[in-house]
Amino acid sequence: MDILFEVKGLDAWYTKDKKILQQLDLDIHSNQIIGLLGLNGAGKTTFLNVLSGLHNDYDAKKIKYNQKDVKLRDNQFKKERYIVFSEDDSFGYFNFDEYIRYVFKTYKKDFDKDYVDELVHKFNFENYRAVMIKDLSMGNRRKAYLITGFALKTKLLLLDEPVNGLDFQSTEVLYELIIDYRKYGTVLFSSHVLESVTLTSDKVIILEKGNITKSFDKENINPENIRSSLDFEN
Amino acid sequence: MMSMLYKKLFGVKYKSAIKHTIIYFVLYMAFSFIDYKFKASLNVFVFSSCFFSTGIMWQVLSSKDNARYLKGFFSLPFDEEKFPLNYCIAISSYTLITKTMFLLILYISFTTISFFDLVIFLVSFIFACLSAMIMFAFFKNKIYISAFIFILEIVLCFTISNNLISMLIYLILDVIFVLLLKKINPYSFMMSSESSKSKNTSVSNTNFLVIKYFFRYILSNKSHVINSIAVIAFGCFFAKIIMTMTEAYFLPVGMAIISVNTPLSILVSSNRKLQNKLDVMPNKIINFFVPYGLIVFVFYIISYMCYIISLFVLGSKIDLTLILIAIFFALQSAIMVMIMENKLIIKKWNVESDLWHNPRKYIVPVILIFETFLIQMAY
Repeated sequence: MDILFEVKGLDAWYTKDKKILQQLDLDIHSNQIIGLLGLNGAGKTTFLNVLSGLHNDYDAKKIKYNQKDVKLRDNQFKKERYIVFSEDDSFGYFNFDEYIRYVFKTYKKDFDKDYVDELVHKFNFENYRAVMIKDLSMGNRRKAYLITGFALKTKLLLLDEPVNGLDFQSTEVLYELIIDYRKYGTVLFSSHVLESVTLTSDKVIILEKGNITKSFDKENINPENIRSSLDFEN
Repeated sequence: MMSMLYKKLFGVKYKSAIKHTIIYFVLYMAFSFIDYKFKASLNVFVFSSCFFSTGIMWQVLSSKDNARYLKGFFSLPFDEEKFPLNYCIAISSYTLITKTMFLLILYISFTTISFFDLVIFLVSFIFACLSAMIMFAFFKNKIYISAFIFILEIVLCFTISNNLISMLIYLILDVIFVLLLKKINPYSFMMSSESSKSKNTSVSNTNFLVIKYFFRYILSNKSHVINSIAVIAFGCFFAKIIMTMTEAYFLPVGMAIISVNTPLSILVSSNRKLQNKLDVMPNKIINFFVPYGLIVFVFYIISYMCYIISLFVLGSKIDLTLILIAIFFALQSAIMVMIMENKLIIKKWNVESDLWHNPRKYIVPVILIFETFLIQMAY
């Protein structure tokens, strides 16, 4: 697998005296599923926010996309990635169909109506398409943004705690879609649910105090290994 | 939990309260140096301070972030009898210290105010805040009570004078309203979130999505609509005042004043998640800000045309120059709003009221007023 995205020596902070990410190195390959685990406050969301260009207080020795130096707020790079935030109520005055059409237009991609309908059906979301996003429950809002993310098929899909708020059936659908996404691109997602990473990921990385302390490749991904590595506080 | 509300309203270290106190002190000193006094009716002062305070209270009570705070508060055990009054005191303090105090400073600085005037101001302010709370609580289910209190507030403003009887009337009403407030169900202050379905799901044309979004944003909140209409109405009323000025070239000042339209210019600032989403998606200028700017431009054109028509009806000579100035001003205002909402987003606000009263909203009118004077100098 080619290296899609490379980060070396990444530091990120909210105040200069306290770094949230410290000298983080990560290679992300094409068509790979990477699960990101860590305790609360480890820096998972900050890391995803840096990659999405939202968090601008960072410094890195190297950031490359497709072997070329890249600025994370570059418009061209934005077209290659989509992020589903853990908390989001943006575009609340659109209903789902309007929102997804708007996103496709923004990304200048052809709208795949059949695939979107299929995703809506899988997530049991038909009855909510006409409801304004601001009036959806948290779980349904999450579905709206997830369906959009999966339908867009960007090279890099970032998901911040996608399992939160989903019902049991939708969680199963989510795992299936994450695994299936290898056909289109790479998924990097953070989670607190161990099963979500063990069932789907090619690689699991443990973030601890702003740095990657352990990583597990496909052969070594199992709940016992990962659970025992997370017992460092005990 | 009330201390949490105070921190939400004033900031973690009550920075907002300290900042506003210092600003108002400095303003008072500055105004005192001007040494200009005019005769102002106590009734007009009480009317403006009461209705301004009631408006701010209502805005805070009906804001979405406040609803989120109440949801957390009500999930824990609390004293139902004490809550409404404590809630009222918190929001009234915020209103007085950060908003109404400015009116008082203006009044003290530019009029000859007696001690009794100050007393009347205080008791009428308390009455306005209590009225706002009770009107809000009864608005959904017993609107006739809210209407009655509203009319009572207007009548009192124009019938009181600075004497003991007026003070006593307000004090008695204040006591009655405090007792009434203790009986009100605290859950009346929770806003309900009604789901609203838009009519169709098929999206045939994506070109007007942002325009549709914008109209829903404006129409979803009555205060947005009222504010927009009120600004246009004020502009038309201002036309009458400006007609008395001798220089015809001051006519564009009315357009500058109409440019203070808060809901129009805080579409992105009012939703932090929308800011984030726009930042991470590509092509935000062409896909979002250009249509947004277009709507703002059209709205300003309509507002300015209402103003020009008012001038025409009042007998002013309207020439092509004024129309061209209107188009130029509308274009500038739209571009400035687009730039401000893209690059100068208001991020530091605790409650929606802070957003609505952020000084950024005066940038456009000040620039346009400055240009009006430049036009006047050129002629």
